[in-house]
Amino acid sequence: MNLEYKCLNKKAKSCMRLSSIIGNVILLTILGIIRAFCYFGDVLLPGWVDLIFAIIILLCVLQIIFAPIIRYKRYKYYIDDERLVVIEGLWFITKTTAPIERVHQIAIERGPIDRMYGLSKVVATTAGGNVDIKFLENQIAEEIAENLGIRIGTIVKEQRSDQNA
Amino acid sequence: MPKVRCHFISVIMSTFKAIWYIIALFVFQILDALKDIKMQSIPSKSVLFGLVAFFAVIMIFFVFNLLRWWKTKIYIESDTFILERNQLSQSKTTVKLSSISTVNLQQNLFEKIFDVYTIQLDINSSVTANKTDFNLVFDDKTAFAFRDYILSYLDGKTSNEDIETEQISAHSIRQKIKPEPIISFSFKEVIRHCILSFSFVGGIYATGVVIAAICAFFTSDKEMHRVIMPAILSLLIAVVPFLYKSLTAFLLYHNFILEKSGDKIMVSYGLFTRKQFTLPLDKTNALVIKQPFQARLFNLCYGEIINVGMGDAAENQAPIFCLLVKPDVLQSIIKQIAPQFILEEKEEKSPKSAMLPILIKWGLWGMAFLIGFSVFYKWWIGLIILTVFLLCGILSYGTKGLKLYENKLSITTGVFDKRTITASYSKLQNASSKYGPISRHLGIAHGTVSILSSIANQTNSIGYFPLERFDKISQQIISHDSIK
Repeated sequence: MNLEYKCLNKKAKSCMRLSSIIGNVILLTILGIIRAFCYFGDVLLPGWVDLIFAIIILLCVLQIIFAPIIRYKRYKYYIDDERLVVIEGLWFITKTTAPIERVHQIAIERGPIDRMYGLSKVVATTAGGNVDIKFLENQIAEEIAENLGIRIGTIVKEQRSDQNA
Repeated sequence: MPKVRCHFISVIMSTFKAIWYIIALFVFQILDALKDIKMQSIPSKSVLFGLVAFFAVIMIFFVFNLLRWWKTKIYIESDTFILERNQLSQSKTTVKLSSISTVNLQQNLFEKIFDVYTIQLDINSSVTANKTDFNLVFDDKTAFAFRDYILSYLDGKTSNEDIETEQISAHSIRQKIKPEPIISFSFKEVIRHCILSFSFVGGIYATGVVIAAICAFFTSDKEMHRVIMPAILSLLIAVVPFLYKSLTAFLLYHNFILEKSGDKIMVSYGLFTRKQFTLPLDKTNALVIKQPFQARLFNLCYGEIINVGMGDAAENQAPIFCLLVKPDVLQSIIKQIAPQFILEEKEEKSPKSAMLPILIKWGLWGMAFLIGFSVFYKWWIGLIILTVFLLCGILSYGTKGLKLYENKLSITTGVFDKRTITASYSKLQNASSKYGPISRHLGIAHGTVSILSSIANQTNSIGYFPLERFDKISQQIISHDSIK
């Protein structure tokens, strides 16, 4: 079945990059502090520890440069009256499918980095867990949440009328 | 139904549960004081102070629980269950009887002395799926009256008239329903279940810890004993819960009986704490067939039932409906109680190409241990661990299975233990598939499906299978509307 998936706005790439930078800076800072303690505390470490540290820095830089490009290219979502599908990932691609009929709650979340770029995350809750659509423009997120909310309401009314019948 | 309170014994039980350690300290203080008195001396100030302090704490908790008990009323009004509390903060919890998914009776040793029962109610809700929603202690007549009233309401047989608890003979109602016995397990079969369902990995871990502790003790000198003894004791303490759980399994499953009454099954077992689960089959989300490692050698398996809303203690997460039996016996039991979950066909095994990503995943972990042990200790230990990990990968590959039926699917996973879950598509909430560069090239993926359940059973992983299987699962979930 061929579905017409939608892609994210270009702002999502910058948002992913900024999140990646912050995450890697925190990681390198922690490792740097540990290394500094060892250096100033005269703790002797084998020579290959510095080599590993250099490799980690290189990997972090590569991740900051390339990971957002790949993740942005791969991130797709699809919504219709029946289903909600999200495809995302870097090394491992995950495709999550949830029937709209199983969704019982819709929420919009905006983190501090999302707010800087005017982006939001739509969280669709089913009884078996959440399905998230991330890095959506605020207006699009509001539209999706409203449409899903109307659709859920229609489904509940249909189910209640079936039960009463 | 008139408003009732829980039995007074619940006050003592709640107090004891909350502060059993303080009560224990209080008892030790009394013993110290008695020792002093025996030696014809006045107990020391610290002992007296401790006695007074602990007694005060116990009395505060007791009075708090007493007031709570006095101000709490429970009753059923038309089709709702109501729990009213009028302490400093007032609350009124109202639950529709139709949303109660399970009604269970439990009686531990203490409750047997006073002839009371704990009635456990679970609501059909994912919000409270990980805990029992109501635990109420009543005398036997009231407990059975509540249970029978709720069950008969769920059966749709209740009239609109109020029923006086004193007028109901609990035994006469149970006699009217007359459950059909399905299977019961003898002393020998319960022992067999306890021995063969002993956790294999837990046993290896416990044995390893004990051996390591003994070797460390005998190979170190006396000065090192002071340093390593606390570490050894901590490790041994970590083993105690595992040993306790394994040894008390017999007490838990003693006199196991499975019965069916209409569209409900009743499971009862326990020596000191007798548990009776009443499980409505229309609220069953999935059935699980489990084969512990030792049981696989004898081709035995046992069954668990996943019922929405069940879940407080670990053993209640998914109650067992059948102890270890042969697979064909278990399938015949499933045919009697829930034929929609029967497995008619053989499962599809993972394709041979799935071995590669599985061995890579396990091999990477093994390599990490090999490198670590080679650098810091002995390389051959790392090599043994790598071999064990690769063996786990092979076992993991061999265990995986998947079968897609018209209205349901069954998924088998595991490494040493084998677990098969059967659920209808209408009970599945969402599905996901995942592939990396290697599995994508091979045309396979692995994934998960989620059901409404407590956390332990909510997300169920699927091994490596062709991508088309996961597309079919998603399509089937969408085409099957959920059953409320």
